[in-house]
Amino acid sequence: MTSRPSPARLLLTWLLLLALLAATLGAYALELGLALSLAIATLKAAAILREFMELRRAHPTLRLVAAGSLLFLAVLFCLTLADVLGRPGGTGLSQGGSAGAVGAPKSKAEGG
Amino acid sequence: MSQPHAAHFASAEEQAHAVALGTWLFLAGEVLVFGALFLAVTVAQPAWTTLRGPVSASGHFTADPAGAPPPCCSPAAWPVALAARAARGPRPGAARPCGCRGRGPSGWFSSRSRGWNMRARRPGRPVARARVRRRGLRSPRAAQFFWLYLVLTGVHAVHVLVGVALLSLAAWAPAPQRVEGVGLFWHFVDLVWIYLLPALYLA
Repeated sequence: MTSRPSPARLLLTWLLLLALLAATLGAYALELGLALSLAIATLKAAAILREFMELRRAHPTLRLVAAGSLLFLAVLFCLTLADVLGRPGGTGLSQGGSAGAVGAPKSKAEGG
Repeated sequence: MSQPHAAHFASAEEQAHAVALGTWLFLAGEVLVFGALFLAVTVAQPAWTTLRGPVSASGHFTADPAGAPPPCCSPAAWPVALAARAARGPRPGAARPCGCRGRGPSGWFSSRSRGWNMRARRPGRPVARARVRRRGLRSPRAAQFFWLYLVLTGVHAVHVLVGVALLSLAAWAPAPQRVEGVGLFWHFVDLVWIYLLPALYLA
């Protein structure tokens, strides 16, 4: 608990975050897709959790709480998506194409 | 080496651990609050891509300079981490550097309020209204996007405000565990933004 990260390490982490931010914007400019953006975001989150929030050297209890929150988040997402993705027909989760094509005009009718 | 601690703790180290554990448990609850909102975005997002056509709903923001997303509130992250580190040092007064939070929050807010403003004023601006109609942003899908956008960025904005207030308090009266707890909270707010940026602006 008493060991402290060096300022240089914190600075490097911060520079890494800025580099990843540039990568995110670059990926967006090149239209490389949302999945890549989210992957980069996860890298950023890992760096912050590990270095800035000091989970790297934290007490096991703290790491357990952090992991536990992610576990419940995973349960929330998995159960909900299991329902939504498992619905027959219009799930609204198809890849933009079919649902997308009918989505706009249909919604217009619904709106009126 | 014996640092001051509250009477009901055996040592300063035990107190520090209790503060950290309490903060992490609080953050675990926060994860679920934001998790539910991000889940709503995940379920609804593919439908929003139908707005993509010429310009997606999120592209509506990024295409407009007034609505361009702030890149991040990360500039503040490093000073906060440094302050938390300094707070554990021999001189708690050294935690004061966390007072210089960079231009993160203020820049974020001015940019954010411009984004909200743009939408709030839209019905009153004939040119913008025509543009919105042309882009099909009046559909229920678009309403859903803007609603979730407002709630998600709004809840996050409240957290940023609270974070700024807490950081100011920690800078004004830096106690080691206060700086550390506030630092953890600030990093969490940053984490939310990291996912918010791709989910709402880059999708």
